[in-house]
Amino acid sequence: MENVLEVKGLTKLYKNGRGIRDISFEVSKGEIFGFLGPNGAGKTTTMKIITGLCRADKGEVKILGFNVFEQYEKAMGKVGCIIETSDSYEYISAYKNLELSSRYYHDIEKSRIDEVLKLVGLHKFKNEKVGNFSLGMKQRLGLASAILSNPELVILDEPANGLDIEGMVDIRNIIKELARKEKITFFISSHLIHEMEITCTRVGIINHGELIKGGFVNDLIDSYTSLENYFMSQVRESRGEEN
Amino acid sequence: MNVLYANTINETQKLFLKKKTIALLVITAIIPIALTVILSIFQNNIGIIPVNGNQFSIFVLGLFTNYVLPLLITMSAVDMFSGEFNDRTMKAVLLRPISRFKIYSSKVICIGVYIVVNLTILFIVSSISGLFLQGHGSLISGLLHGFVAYAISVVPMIGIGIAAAFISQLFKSSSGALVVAIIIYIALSVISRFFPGLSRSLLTSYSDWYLFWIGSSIMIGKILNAFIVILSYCMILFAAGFYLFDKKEL
Repeated sequence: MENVLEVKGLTKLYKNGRGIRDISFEVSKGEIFGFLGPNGAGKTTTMKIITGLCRADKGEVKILGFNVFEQYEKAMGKVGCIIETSDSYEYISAYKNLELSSRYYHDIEKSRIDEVLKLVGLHKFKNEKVGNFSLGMKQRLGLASAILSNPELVILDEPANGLDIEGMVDIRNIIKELARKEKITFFISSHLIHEMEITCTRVGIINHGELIKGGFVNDLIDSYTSLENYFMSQVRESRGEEN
Repeated sequence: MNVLYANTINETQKLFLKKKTIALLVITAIIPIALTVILSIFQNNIGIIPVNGNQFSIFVLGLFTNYVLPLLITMSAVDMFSGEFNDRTMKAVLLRPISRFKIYSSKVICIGVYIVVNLTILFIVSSISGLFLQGHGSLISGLLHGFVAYAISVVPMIGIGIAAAFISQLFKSSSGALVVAIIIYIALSVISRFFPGLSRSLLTSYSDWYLFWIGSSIMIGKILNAFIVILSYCMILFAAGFYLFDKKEL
């Protein structure tokens, strides 16, 4: 199957010794790939390097065949992302925020902005300033901005952050719907294991900056009953403990 | 749409959608009017004519290019760089399919647009205000001189804008960047007053280079010299600012 994202030997170490070491994985077209790990495991660092916000000490990232470090504009042309938190301008409206985002891409009609606002349930608030939005609404707007350009790959770092239960369910359904209907590939990071289990098709487990293992969610559930059991067994194994 | 053009439009819209920007533009327009009122009082009550009506726009330009505009330009540059890193909205641009060079360039172009808008408002308001003062001389000649002076003042002000953009890269906090930029500007202005020999090589000494253009004879040698100094500063500070911007990690 065609790889949308290829990460090879990604390494970045901070002065405090933390960071990521030799991370390699691929995400195929149409997958919802989950990057699962505890807080501080290196999920956000990996995503920041993939999207060009940070530089790697070593390694290579290719999106749709383009090297992110050398062909950034081409690599990011069909990518939408939320890294850490949604990043909208608070002093302008939700609609205006999306209008600004739309200018970086070709052929985004005004109707597409309304379409994505409806999709994330913000259409009736489209003329309100983002500064008045709740954290959950900002996160929804971030998702709308990420999918605005009809991307082939959407990278979401902790998309459930700040969302209530209803919000989490909505975002999960939107992700699954987009993956199913529009064949958008998702690369999602989270520490919420249950959320990953019911959203993702495949997961990779990251701990202390290293990608331990991973696999297809259905296979892992068949073998370990739940993703939580698999996660704990892999973390113990990586520490050299017996299961 | 070309992404450099797209981001220039976006940066300009973002800047002019801020209440602070509009408020400062209104203040820019009010200052010449307030000065006209004060000078009229002098003319009518004391009989002193401190500034002729046809020279008023040039007088206002001197005041703005030396003191007010550098402050406004620095504030907008700091907002565009340190401010956006501070409130984490820089990611909204960095995560789009646009290179960092184009982001940096479009922000500098936006500072240029801001300078042109400021000077245009100032020229219109000060030219009209000047009509209410005594001592007009030739209206056409006054307007023409004023227009040339305002148009040519864009050049050193862009130099100040590029310098402010560079200083913004050195600080994470926007208030820190603003304070240091102001201190540097004051220090350079003081140095150029007390050490005239040094002033020829300082960017801040060329804020009033429009004087070379509107005298009885145009001073080609001085203009060329000033232009080369300003251009050199622009190139060096743009390259240094972009280098630091490109190295920034979020």
